[in-house]
Amino acid sequence: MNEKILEKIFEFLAYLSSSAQGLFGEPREYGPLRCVDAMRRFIDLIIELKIPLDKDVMNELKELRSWIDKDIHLLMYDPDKFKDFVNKLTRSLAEIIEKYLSLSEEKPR
Amino acid sequence: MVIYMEKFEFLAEIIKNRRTIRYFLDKEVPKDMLIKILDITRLIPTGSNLQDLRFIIINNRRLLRLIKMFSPGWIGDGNPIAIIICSDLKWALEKGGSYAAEKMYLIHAGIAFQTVALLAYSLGLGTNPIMSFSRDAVKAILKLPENLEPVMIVLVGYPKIVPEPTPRLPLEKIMVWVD
Repeated sequence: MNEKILEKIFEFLAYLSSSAQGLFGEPREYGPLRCVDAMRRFIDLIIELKIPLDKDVMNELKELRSWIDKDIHLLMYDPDKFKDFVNKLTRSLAEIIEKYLSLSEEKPR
Repeated sequence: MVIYMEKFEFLAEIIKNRRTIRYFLDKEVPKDMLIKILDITRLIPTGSNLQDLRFIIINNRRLLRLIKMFSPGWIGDGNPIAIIICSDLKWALEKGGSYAAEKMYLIHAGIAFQTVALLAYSLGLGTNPIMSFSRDAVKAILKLPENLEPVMIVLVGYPKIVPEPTPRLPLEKIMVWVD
């Protein structure tokens, strides 16, 4: 078993678990903050685990990651702008999914 | 009077210019600098002179990585040292009663952090106080005895990125003067 891969997986799980623990008592806005940070960490995981993705998809994910890196700190300065950023981030993700994911004709679960 | 104003201005500048640092350089923090900082920090006031705080300095990469995994508030990178500010709650309860063990220890940790932060800044170091972390996980990782409660993680290192100041409420919004 590759120790580095295991470490990365555990790192992500530990982040989610301890975020869940802490959020019971933390400011309300920390919820969205942790979710967006989880997105960033998950993209890192995809890159570090060398999950084979189409080059264009990978580039889109890397751009998303850079964008999150740039704007995640908005929460500390301007919570309204942070909310706006989260809305735009979600819309962008929807556009990426729509562009790259050819869903089959199967019924939704 | 001039001497007091000089001291005031000196300290005011430190307080005004301190920032919370999230991105640190890989440069190692010298042990004697940390010891110097903590040797002054132990002089902070505590209710009933309780002196309930205990400081655990983590300079071990593996332990730092493990602690970081369970600290959602630890955002950023670099090579900081971590000071785990703990309170001996058994000591606090015995010597200070339930109020000390339920509330005062938090205030003591806050005073300790501010002292560490200002001293560190004066030595060219940066700090980051972290409250968002799993106390259960840190206790398990460091095998802390039952009486020690980790209150805050303080990262100390050489700043790589110094952020802009975050907004503050004006004085008139937070102060009421009563004659």
